[in-house]
Amino acid sequence: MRIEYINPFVEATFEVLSEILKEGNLRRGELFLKRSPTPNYGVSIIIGLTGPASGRVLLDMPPNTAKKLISAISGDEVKDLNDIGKSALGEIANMIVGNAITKLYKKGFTFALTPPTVITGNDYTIDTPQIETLVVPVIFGEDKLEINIALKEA
Amino acid sequence: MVEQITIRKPDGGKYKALVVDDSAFTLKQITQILMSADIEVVGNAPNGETAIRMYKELYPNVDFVTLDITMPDVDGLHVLKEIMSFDPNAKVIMVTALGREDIVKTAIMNGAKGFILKPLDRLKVLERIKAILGA
Ligand SMILES: [Mg+2]
Repeated sequence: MRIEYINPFVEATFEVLSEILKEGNLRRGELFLKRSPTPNYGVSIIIGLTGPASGRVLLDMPPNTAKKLISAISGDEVKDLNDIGKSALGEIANMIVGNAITKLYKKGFTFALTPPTVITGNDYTIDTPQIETLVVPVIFGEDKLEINIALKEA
Repeated sequence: MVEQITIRKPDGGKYKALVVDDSAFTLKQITQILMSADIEVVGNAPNGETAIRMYKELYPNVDFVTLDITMPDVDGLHVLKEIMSFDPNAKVIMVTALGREDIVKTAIMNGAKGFILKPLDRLKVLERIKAILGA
């Protein structure tokens, strides 16, 4: 996976989450590698990517963090991981990945994205291709989410 | 306290809006924001195909459209072109995500009147719509 692909996702995550949470104190944890983009924390949003490389981006977080994001983006109207809450999470992922592919486009890489799929602890049916996955933790206050980036050159 | 903004036509009548978005969450959110300003939401379309059909059915009883750009199958730019060729006076406001303002240039060239950004901020959205409608 080309290293140029990574930063746009991290920057986009910071920009979009700062806007949603109305706070600037997000920080990035240590990057690490794993064998496939597997969910770990209970709530995951997956967006597929095609272009010069193809694969997926998976945002993985605990239910409490997911609820915090849902609550923040909805102005406290929605607080649960119900259908509308999941739809809100899908939109957050759309914003992050959409923002990232715009940054990539400006660097000369044209990607297209698929609509988001939101999975929670109860409905884990996800096939995990063996693609080397780079994980970037993003920490804000007591919360943490992980961006799993798995892209394979076409 | 929630700041009250009302957007009315120059003659005092209510504006009628068609809201288009493939996200159930955003569809609901935009609808609530518009209703809070006393705008009547006459249609909710969850995809591009429905949006084109609804606009034609509602016409001329629809004053403006909020149109999501990123939708599967029939995307917002395609819907925009269809609506503009059906009604060259249509007022279409694109909805796009923060950092993707570039995409809007093509929409403006194709007749869109302006854009609003996600994540949606109620006051910013209403001020924007007010300016676009010249209300
Ligand atoms: Mg959309």
